[in-house]
Amino acid sequence: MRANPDEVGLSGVAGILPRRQCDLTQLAASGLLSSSPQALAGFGFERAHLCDASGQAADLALDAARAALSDAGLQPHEVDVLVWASARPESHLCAANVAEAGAVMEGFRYSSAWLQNELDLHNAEVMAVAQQGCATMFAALRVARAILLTEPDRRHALCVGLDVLPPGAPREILFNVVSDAACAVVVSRGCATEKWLGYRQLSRGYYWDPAACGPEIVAAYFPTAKVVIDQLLEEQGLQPGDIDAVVATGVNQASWEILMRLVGIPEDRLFRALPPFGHTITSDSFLYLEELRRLGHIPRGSRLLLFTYGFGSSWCGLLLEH
Amino acid sequence: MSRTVLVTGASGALGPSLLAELLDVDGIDRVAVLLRPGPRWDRRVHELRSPLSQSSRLVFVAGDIVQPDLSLHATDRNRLIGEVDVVIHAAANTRFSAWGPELNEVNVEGTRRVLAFARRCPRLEQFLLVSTSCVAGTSTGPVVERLEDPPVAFVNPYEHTKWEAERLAAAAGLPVRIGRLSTCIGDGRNGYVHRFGAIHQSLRWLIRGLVPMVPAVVGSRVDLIATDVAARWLARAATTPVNALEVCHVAAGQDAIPLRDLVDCTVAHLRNTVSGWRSGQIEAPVIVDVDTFRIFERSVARSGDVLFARVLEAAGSFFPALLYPKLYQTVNAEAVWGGPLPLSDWRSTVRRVIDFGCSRQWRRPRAAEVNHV
Repeated sequence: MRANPDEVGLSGVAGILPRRQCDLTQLAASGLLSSSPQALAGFGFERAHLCDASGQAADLALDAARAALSDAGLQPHEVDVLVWASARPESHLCAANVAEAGAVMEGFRYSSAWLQNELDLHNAEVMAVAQQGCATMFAALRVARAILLTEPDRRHALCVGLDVLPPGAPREILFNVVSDAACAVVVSRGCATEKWLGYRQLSRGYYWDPAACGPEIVAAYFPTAKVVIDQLLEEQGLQPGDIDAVVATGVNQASWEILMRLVGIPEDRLFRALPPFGHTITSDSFLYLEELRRLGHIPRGSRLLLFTYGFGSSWCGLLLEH
Repeated sequence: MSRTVLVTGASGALGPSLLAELLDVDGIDRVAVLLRPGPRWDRRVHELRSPLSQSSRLVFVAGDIVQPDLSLHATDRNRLIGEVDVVIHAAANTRFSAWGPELNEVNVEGTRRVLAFARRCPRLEQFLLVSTSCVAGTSTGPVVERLEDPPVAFVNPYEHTKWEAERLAAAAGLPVRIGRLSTCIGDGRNGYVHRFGAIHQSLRWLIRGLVPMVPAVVGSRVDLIATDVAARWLARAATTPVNALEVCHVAAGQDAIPLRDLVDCTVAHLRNTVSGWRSGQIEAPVIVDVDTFRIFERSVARSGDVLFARVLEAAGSFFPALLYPKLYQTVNAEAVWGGPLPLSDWRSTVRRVIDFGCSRQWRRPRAAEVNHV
């Protein structure tokens, strides 16, 4: 497939889950769940992936970035832009190695800069996006694409997403079992794979405080998701039936069942071909997208819809051509 | 001709409007109100009497339909037996989610006791039973104004008990008129609601942004009437002779509101008036098919979420009506009225009820706030 130099696509995609797993019973026994394991199993959850406390999070991000670069066939020096993406504030910082380090200075130990150094991305300009909850990686891709389209000297942007909950943190958020994970996506100009077709985001600051308005967020999820997807399809002149695959997230499976029905896309087009890994905040869509690319079952030229919701609150839909 | 009307259920949702309309009808000399005795008797009497301009024609009588012989004092009983021309039996337990036996005690056995009392009134011209269009249960399509066999199913025990009450009244050997009221949403003139019910509770959740979806089938309509319209009809019916059993649908009938229009009207009003909606942050609920709604219900049940369970409980009171679309015939009701029912503009009524509910934070109005229209 010949690429148009003005088009942007995803040339490399990778997602990494920590090896350590706890099943629902173990999580419940550790007091990390608020719902019963039976209820969560009914929502399609089986386990959570957890980082060890020993700084494994950094390795996850590193591994994901390396895998995405490899998938894109790029060398580190070819990366023009590095965009770090984390929903959680602690994931924007590298853990301090020395306890006596000043608290103020610790706040400047940026994960993005560390990653640039570790990967030897010496030609990359570095930045980070945050505060989009589970949609933070979507925002990173959007920033990357905008840079590539507006600055012709830049050709490849590496977006790296990482979210790891603090040790001992509860592992359930609004009836979702939360896993740690990292993902990385190379956004490239002149790339014909996972070509960017359209994007739609609705941000609703009314729901800014998830601790205070959890039920309202749950209720708003479906109507707002439908509006976003409807608008995205309409902007592209597409009907629901024109979507060949919907790349799922790891959130509770009943919500996907409902959403597919709401937007009128046949349920068999939901791509969720991985054992349940929980909800990884930023990485879900890209764990599945990597698997979709690896399996190769979806024909080239198919239209893929990625959708996610992030605390804040933002509802985001991304349309790609495979 | 001058009549004495005995009213049960005057402290209910319809009560203040009904009393006001009865006092406004030529030919009604006195309205006797059966009110359950209790520690707040004086306050409840004051609440009902104070908004009325001709309240000297109101007589409050202590009595309880769940007690033998209505627990009437002998003096009151004998006086009422000698004076009552019309009984309007509006007392009912309308909590859809109430326990079956509790509903039965008020709605069926209570009706049986009021009928027994009515049989002892030699002047009785009419026993007017205030019933509900819900007695049609899960049947769909046109609903005629007559007693029918029970529907395939009732949505809740409330409907069943009201259906049984109708049967009792029909078999009582009295001149019986049954007024089946559609959903009374509030006063069409000012939005006043005396007792907030299931539909108001659902509105309240909707306004808070807690109703993500509404189930519907093709042709789903909502049959709403203004409370004052229902009250006016009942007052006129009280003085309209009835010979044999007559069933009347006090309903919007052909003018029932398409669900989409009702949702759009409600949302448009909220976007003009209510924070969150005004800024476009809260989206309108999605109208979904039954299967999708059932998945959502199951999901809520599985989660054990208490708040959503309450939302669904309130919704469960009137959402089922959307799944069994009906068209209520209103021929008999119109004959009583003497023409088409004086339906209020539903859009204005809905807007006023929302404004009223929001201004009272959906709490029952205090005595001083009782409808003064």
